[in-house]
Parts: sequence; C-alpha cells; structure tokens
Amino acid sequence: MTGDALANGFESLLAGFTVYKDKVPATPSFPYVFVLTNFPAVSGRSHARTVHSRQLRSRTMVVGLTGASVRIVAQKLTNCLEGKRPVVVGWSLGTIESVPNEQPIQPDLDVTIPGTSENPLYQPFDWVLTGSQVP
Amino acid sequence: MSDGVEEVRRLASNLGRIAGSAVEDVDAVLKKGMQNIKTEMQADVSGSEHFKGMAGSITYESRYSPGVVRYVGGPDKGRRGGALGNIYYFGTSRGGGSGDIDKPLRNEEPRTVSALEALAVKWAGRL
Repeated sequence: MTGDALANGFESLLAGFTVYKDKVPATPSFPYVFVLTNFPAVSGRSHARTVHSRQLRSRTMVVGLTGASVRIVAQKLTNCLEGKRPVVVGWSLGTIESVPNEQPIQPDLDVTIPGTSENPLYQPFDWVLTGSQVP
Repeated sequence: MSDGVEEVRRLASNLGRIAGSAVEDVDAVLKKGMQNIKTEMQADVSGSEHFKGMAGSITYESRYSPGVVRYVGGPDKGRRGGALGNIYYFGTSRGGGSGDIDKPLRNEEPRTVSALEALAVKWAGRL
C-alpha cells in the first residue's frame, strides 16, 4: 500500500508499445513511450488535517519518427490509460484522467536519429489518478 | 398591500446595475490573480540554473469577449528565452520538464476563489 506500489500499478497498464521508465537509453527503439510517475502527493485532507486522498501525477512522452507514428502510439497509450481504474492492494482508486497541456507534436532538435540527420518527434501527455489508502 | 410588481421591478433594476459592473469587478480580481501567477512562474524559473534566462519572457494577456473575461499567461515565444518554455515545463523526447506549470495556478486558485466569493456577497447585498 505504498506510493511506489501505486506508481507501479499505474505503469503496469502501459502495454502494446515500447516503454522506457525513468530513463531513455542512448539508442532507443522508436517509437517509444517514456514515462515518469511522481510519488502521490496529498490532494485532500479532513477537517482534522488527516490525509483523505492522494493524487498520482504521471507524464508520458510519446516519441516517434513521424507525426503519424506519434499519433498511433498516442492512441494506444490513451486506450491503456484514459478512464481506467488500476487495482492496487491497499488503495481505493478513482479512474485515470488525462490533463490537457496544449502541447503539439514537435521535433526534438537536440536529438538526432542514429544513421540519419533527422530529429525524432514527440508529444507529452499528462495524467492524474486520485485515490485513498485503505486503513 | 403590494402585488409584488414594484418589488420585481426593483430587483430587475438592481440586477441590471450589478450586471453593468460585474465584468469590471471580475476583471479586477482575475487580473490580480494572473499577476500573482506570473510573479510565481518567474520566481520558479529564476531558480533554475539552465532556464533562468527565460524569466523575462513570462507574461500574460487579456482576452475579452462579450460578458467573458479571460487571461492567458506563460512564456511568450516572441520574447527572449520564451522558446525554452515548452522544454522547461514539458521536457523533450528524452525527459526533462522540471518546471511545474500547474503550481502557480494551484497556489493562486484559493485566493482568487475567495475574492470572487466576496464579490458575490457584495452583489447580493445590493439586491
């Protein structure tokens, strides 16, 4: 029933595409999803100031060689997460919701695809999951 | 004995007066809130070794439409350092994104909501 278990429960929903957690290798396999998940922060307290709920925030970076590739993987990612309710022992959880960030698909000008002079394209997607720990 | 018509007329008249100044009143509250958000965003990025140069690009602008007040703020790509904004807040294909774009809004929200509630109480007293 730890925050780490909650983050792992969230990340375990990511399937059907290459996922890198915490760090992207020097020569990644495209396309991929890079995921970073925070420790769940307190999002609600009772009048007595005890913790009622916590919110897990995660950023997933969808990276591909073309815009179409990014969109296809983004669709798979959305299918995996949007509205889903992970089951994690010790937690009573709501559903995962995307958070609009108005970020477009854009080239990463600091990265060159090995063997080419082209840049990968990426788009970040933000997610939140609210829940409370079962006493 | 009143038939209520006069009271209804007075209420309508008072509502009209409130409506006439409501947008202006709300605008003042939102503008102050937006200024607070801008100040916090600038303070946050000024603490970043790599991105402090973009602090001056953080600004805001008002967008009015009939009966609606809206403010939009953040790094302006037309200003020096503004193009770094999406990297500071959202990272790149290999991660990053150390800036928390929601924090200033989260911190400001209770203050602005309280100010709007105070406005509503003031309007109710004028009916």
